[in-house]
Amino acid sequence: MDSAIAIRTENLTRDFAAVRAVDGLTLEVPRGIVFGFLGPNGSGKTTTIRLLLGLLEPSAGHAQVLGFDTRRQSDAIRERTGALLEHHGLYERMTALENLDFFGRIARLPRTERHRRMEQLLTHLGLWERRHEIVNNWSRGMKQKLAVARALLHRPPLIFLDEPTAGLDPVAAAALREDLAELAGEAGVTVFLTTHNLAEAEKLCSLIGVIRNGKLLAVGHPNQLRSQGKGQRVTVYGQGFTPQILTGVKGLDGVQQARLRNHHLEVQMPPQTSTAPLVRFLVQAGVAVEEVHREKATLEDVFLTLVSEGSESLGNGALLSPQEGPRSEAARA
Amino acid sequence: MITDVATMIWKEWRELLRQRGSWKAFLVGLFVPVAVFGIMLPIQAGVDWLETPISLSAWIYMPTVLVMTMMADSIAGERERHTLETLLATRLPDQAILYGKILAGVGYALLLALAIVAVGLVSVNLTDLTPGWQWYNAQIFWGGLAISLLLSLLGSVVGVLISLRAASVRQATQTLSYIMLVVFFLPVVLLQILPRQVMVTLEQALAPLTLEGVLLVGGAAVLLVDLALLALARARFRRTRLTLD
Ligand SMILES: Nc1ncnc2c1ncn2[C@@H]1O[C@H](COP(=O)(O)OP(=O)(O)O)[C@@H](O)[C@H]1O
Ligand SMILES: [Mg+2]
Repeated sequence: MDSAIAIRTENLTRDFAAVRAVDGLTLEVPRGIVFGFLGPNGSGKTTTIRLLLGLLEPSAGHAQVLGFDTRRQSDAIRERTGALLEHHGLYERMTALENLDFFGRIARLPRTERHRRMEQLLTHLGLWERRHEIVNNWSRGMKQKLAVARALLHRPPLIFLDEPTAGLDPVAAAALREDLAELAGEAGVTVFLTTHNLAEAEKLCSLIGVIRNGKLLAVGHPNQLRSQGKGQRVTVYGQGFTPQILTGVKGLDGVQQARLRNHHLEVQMPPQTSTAPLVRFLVQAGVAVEEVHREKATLEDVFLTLVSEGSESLGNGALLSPQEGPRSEAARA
Repeated sequence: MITDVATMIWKEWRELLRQRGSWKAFLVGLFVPVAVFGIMLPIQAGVDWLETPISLSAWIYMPTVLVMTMMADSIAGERERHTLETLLATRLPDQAILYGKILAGVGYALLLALAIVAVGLVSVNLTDLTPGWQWYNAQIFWGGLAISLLLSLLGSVVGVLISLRAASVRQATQTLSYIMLVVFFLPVVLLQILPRQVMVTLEQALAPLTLEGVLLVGGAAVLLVDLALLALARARFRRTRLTLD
């Protein structure tokens, strides 16, 4: 195994009764980066993490984490990783310090080092003053921070973060993202982060994998993915758009994706496609067209195109959390 | 492995002490068993509490009743409060988690039993007028301790097994209370319904046994059941087979 690779999966597959939660996943995550596993709810992100930690057996295929096979050497994997899973997993009846202490003991950190590290992380996250409080009464954001500290406590070379900001209000989410960005840079730890939030992936990750229905749709640096956007975004401003017109637009030749926004229509088309047929169709349908814009696809367009291929169920920005809004600045950048 | 088991016990006890909010509440919870087995019964029995097998009731109560209630929470509680998966994602071996939970229960029961038996000793000595400090009959004391150990192991393992399968803490607690009901009332019911003839034969068979003999035979039987159930628990407690949702 190549030591530059932290995670390598080959055709990794997991079935639950009728559902194929992870479907033939083949992926390589280099060491020392923040990898973003981006996909809508139910796309198989959590299941993938469980497979990588050896908490679930794959139905087919295999995976290596830090050079260890997830089926046969999962003990070695768990020893060298930290995790903030779907639930923060804190013991809510115990204090913040007791929670960290427990995981430090599990990791067999010697007493003095354990205490030094706990103080360092809690201070960094602004929780040191409150270390003797029972976690139960804390806000969600504070609990998530504490769970991040717990994952990093024993300085593992690889950590898993399963939707760390899900359920946080925008301010707490932004604060946690700041902390993650900073901590992730600390000593070149590899981070495997899942999210359904594009802005989060863009802010934190240097490599993004897009997953839907258990299948990996694309992998790349945010810029790379953006340029993969096989196309242009055409924005038509005007009056008189209706859902029927949108359906008609989606049926036009060359239209990959179309969305109705406030007073304008956004259409994905291959590069160099003429917009004339589109405009003609709109005018004939009764739209008062005022302005037509053409620009390079954004990462959001690429993402939405990717995850909605073959599916109508994902509408306008369905993948973005409500707080981010459908057109966040980060997604535009 | 021993360090890991100790870590697990440390956590279980921590959580247990915090469970009802504080030390104060924890001590209040102990009030009834202490009052009954540490004060009322010993004072009523007087010196007999120290000399005859009556005190075995204290040794037996703690493991059976307290441990089972505590263990109902062991796995089902972690699953319900969503801490199980994070625990399983650590380097702790399956066995360390299992043994840690079981031994936390055993240790808890033994400590409480010892404390109550000690309170009983003080109660008797304070109220009995015989001059000088009197101790438990050694055979009864050590026999009681051994039976208590074996029974708390039994209670712990049964508790973990039930908790492992239960969908919720509530369900685990319910199942365990049914089991306790059966265990306590079965002997009573049997005594009622068994034909006279059988009873007489049984009595004759048991008559030659000394207290020592009864404790030995009983202890050996419980030990065998303990070992069998422990093996079962080990086979059942596998990370990849625990449902996480
Ligand atoms: N233990 C399970 N039993 C049955 N189905 C499951 C189980 N875990 C996950 N699934 C299914 O697998 C799919 C992927 O789930 P998950 O990995 O949790 O997705 P994500 O984390 O991306 O939201 C979903 O359809 C989900 O219902
Ligand atoms: Mg998930």
